[in-house]
Amino acid sequence: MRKVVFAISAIAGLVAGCTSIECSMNNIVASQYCFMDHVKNDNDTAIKVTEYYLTVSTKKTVEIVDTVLINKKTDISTLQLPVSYNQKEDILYFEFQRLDQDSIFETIAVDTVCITKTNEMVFEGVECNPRYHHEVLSATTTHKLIDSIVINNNYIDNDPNKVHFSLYLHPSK
Amino acid sequence: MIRIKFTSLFICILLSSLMIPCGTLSAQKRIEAAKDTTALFQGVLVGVDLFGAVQKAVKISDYGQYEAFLRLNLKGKYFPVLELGKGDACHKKDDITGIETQTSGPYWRIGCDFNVMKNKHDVYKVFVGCRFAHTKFDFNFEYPGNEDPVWGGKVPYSIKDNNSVSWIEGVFGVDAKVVGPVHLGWTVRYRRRINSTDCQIGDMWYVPGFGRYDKANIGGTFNLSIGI
Repeated sequence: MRKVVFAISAIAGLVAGCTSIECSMNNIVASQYCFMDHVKNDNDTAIKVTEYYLTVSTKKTVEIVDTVLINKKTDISTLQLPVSYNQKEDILYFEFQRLDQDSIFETIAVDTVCITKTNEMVFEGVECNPRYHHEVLSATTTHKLIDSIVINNNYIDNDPNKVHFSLYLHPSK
Repeated sequence: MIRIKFTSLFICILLSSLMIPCGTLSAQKRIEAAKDTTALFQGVLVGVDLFGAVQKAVKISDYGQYEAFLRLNLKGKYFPVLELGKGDACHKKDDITGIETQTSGPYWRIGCDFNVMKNKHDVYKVFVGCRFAHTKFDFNFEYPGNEDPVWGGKVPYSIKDNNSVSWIEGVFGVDAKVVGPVHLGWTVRYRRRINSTDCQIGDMWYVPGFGRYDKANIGGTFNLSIGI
């Protein structure tokens, strides 16, 4: 009986030593932007970001052409935007549009947001694609419609629940 | 009336039968305690871990280790242990990710096992124990780079690093004398990292003696040893 128990235990020990793939369930690294709604202007009228259609684009470094990341999005209270793997600085163009009386898109303003960051490669295992995490060093913006940008969380990783940037619209616009 | 007498007699017999072994046991304990004249040094066990060696030889996985140990037997109860090994991992260009990595380095563990069997001199022994372990190893990593889906471009990545990791282990195991001086046994170990140097790319995938890199893991050994 003792020998049987010994043999079973040994087999259990060997089985426990088998390998398994343990990659993260979420491998997407993206920055989260949150538009701070209900900013009051001088007349105490609430400006709602939901009034706008937002297009976000950037310039490809390799082909030197624009690429659209988000196209005419409504309800822009939160945005998820990709982060470059290897660039030191990402330049994003935020184009705010509104529909005029003839239902034609009218551009209200185009703001340029610059994010400077580090690029750290994160390795989990040979069977998992490495991903890049980023530490945000600075965030700046032009002030046509966006009043300011605030860094809430300066570490961009694969956690989808973090809000990294808060964007405040200009009260006077 | 006869029934009551019979019942009380039965209870008396039952109680006395229960008390006899207790008395005998406590008496035995006293005798054993008095007779424990076992010499401190009871021998040495020298052995190897077959699991790591087989894992490496038949390529169950890309890593494995050769490990030998020396275990002293003190009074059949305390077993100070020294374990020495060399762990290697080699993953040639992954089909999907293209990653190529190599790890190689020696490691040591030191600790003590305690025989929890009642009969300390039985051929079977059940151990609980603990270890402190340390390794210093070389780590090479090559990655062809991911194409950035938005901005484009691909930057290959390659590092050569030297890292060290310390960890502690909780051990549960058995050991049995099978033929002559030959022993067979196994251990299951819970490992917990306590200190490590920072690697440039985060996790190191494999650490010699520790296994797949994480804050903690569970591993084991299957030991073949010879008593001297």
